[in-house]
Amino acid sequence: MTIKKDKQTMVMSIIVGLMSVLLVCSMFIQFRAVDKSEKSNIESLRSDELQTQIASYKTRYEETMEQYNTNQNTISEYAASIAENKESTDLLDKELSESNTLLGLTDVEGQGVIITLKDTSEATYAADDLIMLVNELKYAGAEAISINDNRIVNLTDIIAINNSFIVINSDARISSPYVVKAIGDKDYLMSTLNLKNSGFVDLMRINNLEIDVKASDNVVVYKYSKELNADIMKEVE
Amino acid sequence: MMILTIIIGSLIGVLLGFLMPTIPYTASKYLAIAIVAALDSVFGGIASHIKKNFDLKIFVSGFFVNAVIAMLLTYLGQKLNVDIYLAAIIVFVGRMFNNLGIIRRYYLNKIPQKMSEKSKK
Repeated sequence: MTIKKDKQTMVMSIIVGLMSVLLVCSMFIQFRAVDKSEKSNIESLRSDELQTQIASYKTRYEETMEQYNTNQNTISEYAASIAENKESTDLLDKELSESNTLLGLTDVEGQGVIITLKDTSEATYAADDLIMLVNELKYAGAEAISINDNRIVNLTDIIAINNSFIVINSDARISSPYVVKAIGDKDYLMSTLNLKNSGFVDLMRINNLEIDVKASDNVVVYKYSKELNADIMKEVE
Repeated sequence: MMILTIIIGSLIGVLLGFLMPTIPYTASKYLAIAIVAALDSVFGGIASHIKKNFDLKIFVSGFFVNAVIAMLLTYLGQKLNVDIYLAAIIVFVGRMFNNLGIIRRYYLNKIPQKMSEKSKK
């Protein structure tokens, strides 16, 4: 009886022991699984934690979206102002190039006349003759004039030094033959120069000087090669 | 003897639990419900032992079958998109509290008896 009971108790103990092994083992496996997974990925989070996370992500998303929209607006504003600036820059560029052309700071071409003046053995050209020619040309509507490729601008001087040579634009020495190019209405220029008796051509020929006037459809006048400086004058406001 | 085997078994269980590879998180849900079912069975067993109607067959079958059924129900719940495992947990934990209450009352009654016996002596 006691042996039977002992045996029964033993079987029971073994079964219970095995069960406790199983239970505790699975519990610890579970503990480790939970321990490991809880920290890391989103799949292991519980729904309330997920809700908080989603809410915070949503807020962040909205903030970012707002920021993005603001930035987008700023960018489009900038783009608009850039376009505006470009327009005004283009306009300014155009004005500037026009002004430069008028001032004589660019190479220009067009119809006009080419006048070649040569000293002869009997007489030489004086500075006054050149000044007179330039005046005549301007009077006849010339838009650009150069003498031996020295551009005549508003501040150009033509002076004789010691009656021996002629200086133009302060430091360019020129001598015969003088090639004067002028752009303007070629018919006007020709007729003004060729006036009978009082015209420049006749006046020079009377003085035994050699002069040759040619009309051309393509006269090239080079730009003023120095800088135009205004040190003293100022714009009146 | 019984208590000794339980302690030894638990120690072996701890060791094995640390040596075993970790299971994926999705599976850990089933394991958790199985553990709760098993714990319920354990407390049920203790309670029935106190009530002197402990039966090893019932205990062992309850231990395993409850665990397996709880897992199956959880799986079904997952398939049906209903959290059946919540119901299982409520039932098991409720029963655990019941059984714990029985155990507690038993020992609460036992201690004063001993005290009175001592005082009689």
